Amino acid sequence: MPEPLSLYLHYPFCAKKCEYCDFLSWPAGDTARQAYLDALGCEIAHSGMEQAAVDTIFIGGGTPSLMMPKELDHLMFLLASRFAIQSDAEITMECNPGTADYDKLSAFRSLGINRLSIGVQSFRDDELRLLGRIHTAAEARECYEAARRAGFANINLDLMSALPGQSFDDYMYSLRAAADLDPEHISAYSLILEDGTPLKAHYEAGRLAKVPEDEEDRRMYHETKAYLAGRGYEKYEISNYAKPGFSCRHNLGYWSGHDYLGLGLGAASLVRGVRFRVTEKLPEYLACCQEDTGAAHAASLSEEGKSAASSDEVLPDEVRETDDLLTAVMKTPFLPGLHRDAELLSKEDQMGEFMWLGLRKTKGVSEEDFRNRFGISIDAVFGKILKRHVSNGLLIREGGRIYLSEYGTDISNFVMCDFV
Amino acid sequence: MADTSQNMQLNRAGSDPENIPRERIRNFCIVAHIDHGKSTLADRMIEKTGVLTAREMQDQVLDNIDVERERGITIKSQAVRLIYNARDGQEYMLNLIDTPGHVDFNYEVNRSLAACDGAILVVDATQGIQAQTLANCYLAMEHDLEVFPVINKIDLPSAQPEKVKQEIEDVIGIEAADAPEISAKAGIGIEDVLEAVVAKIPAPSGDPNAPLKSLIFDSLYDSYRGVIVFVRVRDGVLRKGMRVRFMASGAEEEVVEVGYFGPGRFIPCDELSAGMVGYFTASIKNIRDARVGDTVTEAGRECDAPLPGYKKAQPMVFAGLYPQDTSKYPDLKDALEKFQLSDASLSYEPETSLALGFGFRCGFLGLLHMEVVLERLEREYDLDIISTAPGVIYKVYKNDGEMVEVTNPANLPDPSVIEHMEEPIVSAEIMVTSDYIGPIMQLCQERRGVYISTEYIEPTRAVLHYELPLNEIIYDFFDALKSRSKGYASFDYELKGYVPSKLAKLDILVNKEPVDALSFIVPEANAYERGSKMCEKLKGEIPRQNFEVPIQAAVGGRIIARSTVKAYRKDVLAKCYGGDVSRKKKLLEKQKEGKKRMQMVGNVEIPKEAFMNVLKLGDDNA
Repeated sequence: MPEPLSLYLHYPFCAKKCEYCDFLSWPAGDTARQAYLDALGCEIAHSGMEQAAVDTIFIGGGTPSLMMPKELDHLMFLLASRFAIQSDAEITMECNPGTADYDKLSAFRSLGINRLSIGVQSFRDDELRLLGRIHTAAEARECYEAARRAGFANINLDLMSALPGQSFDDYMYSLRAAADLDPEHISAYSLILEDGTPLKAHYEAGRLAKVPEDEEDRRMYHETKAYLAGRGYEKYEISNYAKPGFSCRHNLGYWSGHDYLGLGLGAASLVRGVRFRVTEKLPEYLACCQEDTGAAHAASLSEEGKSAASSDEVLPDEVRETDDLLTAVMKTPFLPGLHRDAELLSKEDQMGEFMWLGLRKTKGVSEEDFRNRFGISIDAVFGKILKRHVSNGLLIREGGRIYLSEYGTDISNFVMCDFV
Repeated sequence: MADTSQNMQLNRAGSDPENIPRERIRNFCIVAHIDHGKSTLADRMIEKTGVLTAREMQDQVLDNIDVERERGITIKSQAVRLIYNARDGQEYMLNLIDTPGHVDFNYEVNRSLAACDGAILVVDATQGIQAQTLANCYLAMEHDLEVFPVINKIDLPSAQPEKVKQEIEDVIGIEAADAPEISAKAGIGIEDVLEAVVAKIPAPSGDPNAPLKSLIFDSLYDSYRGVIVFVRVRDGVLRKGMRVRFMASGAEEEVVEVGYFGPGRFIPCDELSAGMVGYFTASIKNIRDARVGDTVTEAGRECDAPLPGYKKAQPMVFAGLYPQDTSKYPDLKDALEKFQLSDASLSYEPETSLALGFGFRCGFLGLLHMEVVLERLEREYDLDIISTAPGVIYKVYKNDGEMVEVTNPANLPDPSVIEHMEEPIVSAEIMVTSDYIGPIMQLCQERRGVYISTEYIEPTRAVLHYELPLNEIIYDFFDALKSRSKGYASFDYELKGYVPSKLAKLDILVNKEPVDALSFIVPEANAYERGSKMCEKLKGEIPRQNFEVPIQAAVGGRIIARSTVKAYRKDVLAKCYGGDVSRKKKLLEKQKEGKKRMQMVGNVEIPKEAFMNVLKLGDDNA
């Protein structure tokens, strides 16, 4: 039986762009949102991997909780028609406080969403304002309580550290507040000032207080782990903590090299050793995902030897190459012209990804898994690198597993880049 | 312009230069201080005599190495034959031999001068006599050349031709009253210069019927024709097909081609007779078989005695050159071999460095020569090169009486077996306006200079005589001189000899491991200062590692300075979405690429640029 597939759905709209956000997301009117959902529906209906067994779904954004229940209902219906969603599938939706009340959350829950990831980021209003969030700490609590009442038994809270002007105590206040709510899962990560974001521009213009020094940032990080351990959370990835049995299966899939299919604007996929992504340009996306295009495409494929000649002609070479590669690998029809950057991973690439993605996990990688997967011992491929990083204390090797030491985690890029 | 076109017509009508009698040949060069307009004057003379039309002229025709043209300096001697229709109605053959203007290339100047009978001394009308004006003028006089001055740049508002003429008469002691006042740049007075060449420079002496006696004054390597030998024929005739003998090396070859110099190209002819300057080829594969200074005569009809040769250039500055990419070692070797064919003054021998791998210890005439060689190696042979700090030859006297010459600090014997060391010193002449005497004397003091004397050449200008360790002037002395005198000081030096000196080897240790490429020999008194500076500089160049890296400077095992690169605390991608894998992977790939440019020293990764930056010429003492 083939390994089950994970699905990622992207909803690129939000109520208001946050100051630090560099994701593919922006506020949009009803018409645009409706057009997008129609296109996404079309993409699902024509996606490859038909009837693949799906064990996790992650609906991210943007702010997918902006969707109306009936919109989600339609998407879920299309997904269920196209894929074999397992009964115990983990189905996560990202949710921002201030966009979903009890009724909406109840509806989401009844539509099959069984895990909610709430973007709280902080429990201090001054920090929330700085980040450009649309909600207060009180509203975040309300959202959490509403989700509980709506029946969500698996909730994640997102938290941020290393904010401009944030003291250690400021951060610990939010961390404690989060743990006090007793969610099943907490993601805590340090803010990265990304190029092109207003926050970075303000910061560089000197309008904001300094972000904590690296030493302070690491103190927050290590204290997070220690504190949450005391509250029953185990760190299972660089920035992720969960109560036993509540690790995010979807994310673990990414780090374990499982296949996933991304649907929606800009969504990335890894299927059968090929990485590719959907175009990040909305007009292109809308043009490719139209019911008649899709239908015409399907029809043309059914006619032997006439593979969508009309649409192929106008496609740039690189896009056509992506399509050709995907068709060859997936052996199922795709909407032509929709995907970009297809890259067939060589065995070396796959082994490298297995290592550096796997090392994100607290338990690291298993030597046996490596051998089973690639038919060669981990030492035959990476022996020298492993030895070096073990000897300088960045990697730990024991019980058939290899994982980052505490300091190795702090400077994990330094280790990981040796595997790419 | 009238006589230019006339000249051109004459040339085209096939005027036969071989028929110009020896009395109407002039072999001369132009000497000047750097930037006084030597090359520009040469260009104008070429243009004026119509060898090239103005449109064909590219600025500075004789500087045909890229680096020469860009830096506006002449490195290799070049020669060109001009046919000039003088005011007396006669046709003259003018052989102009361009000489390098920089003190590093005195050796090349020397050999060019040996081919000449006279020299034009170009002096800038705004600057007057400068250090190299004097040095080069005296060199020309030592070769018994007839020297006459030309005052250049008279079109500039600050030109003071009368004052400069007086200065020339007072300081050098040659007649200057009727010196042509010209602007090479604006093309003013060029004919006066040509007329002066005809009138003032003697025709070559020599007997065309005597056995061949000719002097090799330069040579270059051509991959098709082998070595091209530049000669000045003193007596006799050099003919195509003649069997010639190199008197010093004893080699005999048959002359394949004889010719003279067109601007930027070689023009074959049948013969070169007494007094002429030209070239020949004789399928000579190795430039060492046709040594500059050797006398070429006819095999079987040899001249009585060779001409007095001149001594070989001695490299004064040494540095290790290493390919940045260690796998390029054979390429570097190949490039140096080829390079040496055209630049006999470059010496090299293999050496190894723990930090930099396989490379070569190279000897250069001076720092400019070193820079030029590096630049040409990188450009013409497409190599990325790391050079170690330039140094000089030290004489190390050991307790057992043995003396060894050390050019590579790594080869310095253990201090316990050293009786004493000697370092080379130069006599330096610094010409400076009186306002800047103070700062310049202070500079010389800082560079361990020994004051000899001050000589006023006019009330506001003086020549300072100093003895300076060569080691002190090979870094950035010239730049420091310029900056402390606002550009008004000029400088010339010659090697004087060796003096005992208290020297020490300064070692740099990174994470307790000595980095051989960063060792150098310093005066004991400066060791602490230099060591601290190196430690601070390196600290800025070595990226944070996953452990704390001490950087230490040591003399004879004693740590004298230290800095620390702190371990880095954080380098982590906090959040990694599935969709981000490609993007994150690119970040990691970039980081990995960065690691590749690192040189492992012990277990510390040092970026290769760090070696360059730390050793960078110029700002070491800034």
